Amino acid sequence: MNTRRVIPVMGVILAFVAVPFSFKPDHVSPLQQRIPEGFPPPVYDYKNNPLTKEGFELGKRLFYDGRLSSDGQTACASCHQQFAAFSDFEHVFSHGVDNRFTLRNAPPLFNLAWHKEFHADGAINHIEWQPLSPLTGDNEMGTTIEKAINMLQDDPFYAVMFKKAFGDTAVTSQRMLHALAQFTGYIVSADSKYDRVLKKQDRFTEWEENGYRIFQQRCASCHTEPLFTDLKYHNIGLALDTFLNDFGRMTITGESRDSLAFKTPTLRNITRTEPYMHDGRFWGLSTAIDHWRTYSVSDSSAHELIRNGTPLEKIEIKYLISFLHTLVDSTLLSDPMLADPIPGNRIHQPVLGH
Amino acid sequence: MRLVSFLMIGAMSCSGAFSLHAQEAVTRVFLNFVNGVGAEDIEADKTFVNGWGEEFTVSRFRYYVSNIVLSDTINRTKIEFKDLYFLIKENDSLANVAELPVARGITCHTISFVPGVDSSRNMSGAQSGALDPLNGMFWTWRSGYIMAKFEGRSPASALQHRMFEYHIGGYEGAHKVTDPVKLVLPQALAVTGRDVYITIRADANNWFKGTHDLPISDYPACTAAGPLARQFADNYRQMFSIQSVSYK
Repeated sequence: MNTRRVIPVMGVILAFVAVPFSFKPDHVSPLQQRIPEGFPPPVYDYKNNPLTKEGFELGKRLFYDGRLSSDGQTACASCHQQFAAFSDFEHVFSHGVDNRFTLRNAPPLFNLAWHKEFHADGAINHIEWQPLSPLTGDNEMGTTIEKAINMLQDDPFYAVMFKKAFGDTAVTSQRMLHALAQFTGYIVSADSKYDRVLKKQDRFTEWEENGYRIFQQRCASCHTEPLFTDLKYHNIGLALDTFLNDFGRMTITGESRDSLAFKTPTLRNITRTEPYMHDGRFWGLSTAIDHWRTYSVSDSSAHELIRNGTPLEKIEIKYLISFLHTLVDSTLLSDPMLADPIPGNRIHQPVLGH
Repeated sequence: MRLVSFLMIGAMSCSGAFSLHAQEAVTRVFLNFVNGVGAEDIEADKTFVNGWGEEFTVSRFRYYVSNIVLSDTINRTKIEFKDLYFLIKENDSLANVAELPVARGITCHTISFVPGVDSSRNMSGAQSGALDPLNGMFWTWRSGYIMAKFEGRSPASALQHRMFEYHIGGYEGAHKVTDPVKLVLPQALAVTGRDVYITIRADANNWFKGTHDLPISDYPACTAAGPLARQFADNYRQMFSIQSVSYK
């Protein structure tokens, strides 16, 4: 090869070097990340995925589009409904394609930009990677990345949306995942009565106040404010379900000390996300809290609060439940910006009311 | 024709975007990976024999190459290629060339690289190019790249279809399989105006026998990070050798 050819060829090859995507179309409308007052800095800050109205709208449509799945009607939103704080309303396990069930209870989706890891066992290490798990899971959306990309490529409507968001019509897995993270990371819950009380815009009732005090003494070390989770994994002494054989965090780390440890769920919107626990074994808040009241521990690896805790009195549980009701964020549950954008959308999902 | 193939290598190997002004005093070093079993090259439908006398065929033999470093061990200088990720596939002559732009005038004595993807890229979200999960080298049920993939069939395997399947990954803690490989060049390499072609041979037989004894009959599958994956990685890290160095 002669040297005159070298320079242009080099230019082309180097243009493909794998640095984070940094394209910034000049016609997009930047969107400000929602960081509520009093929240710590988010883990995910959109540095490599600039948040825009166009990217967010694309992500939202993807979230609500059942055609990404193998049966054409199982969307992300099928198991994560807004009215249930983006959990699966009153489902112990969620329904995937081919009448299959998930292994775990679908978690609510909000404040995800503050999470370093996802799933009850922390299997997923980044908000952008998260959608690949339900997308490709045989018992969830049951498809392949390739099929999903092909569907999007063949849809002229998406061509327009990808162009608006990213400058051209190319559909890549990275763009799809970036767009989804623009939507999911934007779902924020920080407008409950509790939040308004902290801002002195509202007042707790006496029972709520009592409950908050009990919460702070007895619950807050794991359900840490303001996210109401410490984002860590704990064995709270839930006996192994021998049908599911779900050992939680140990599946990922391979460490026996992580056996039956599951990520602390947030308590925000908790009244909208029953049944409770990673496998949805408890219906009702009082039943879930009863686990803490009545449990006598034989499992020495269970969390120390379980082993050494003082049981709650019945009246304390009532106070606590009053307080937990103040964590419902009605703004999140009805925010039109997060609602299904597809007119007449017929995805598989439960419907509230009517 | 050569021009076209180089463009394709670039497109298949890596992606993303940044602009680099044409640098005149730059030449290219090509690392050409050739995958074989013993003295033979890997080909579909060919039967090989490993160090345990087990026959096998190969359907997939893929691995990432990243974090390439050319070192001058005398002057203690080095050139690092941090953002270049290559996916080497069986004997795909287009994909299996890692092209490195190198300033003229440098000398190097060793080449090192990670046979896989560093922790950082495992944890930084959606990637493109060689790291696109579309390439089938990413675990979706549990985040992390499959650093190396080796699949085939062997009468020694008791699994269905007599298959063996190794998907090796793990990017953190005790599961980490991303220790670099260091190869010493047969003689000092002086980068002048001419392109340099370094052929690196990978011998698949090292997977089965090396630091650890891993015959197919005992270990027909390894598809998750963990102690066994580490053993396979310890073995395959030794599969690389420099076959030739030439100037063009």
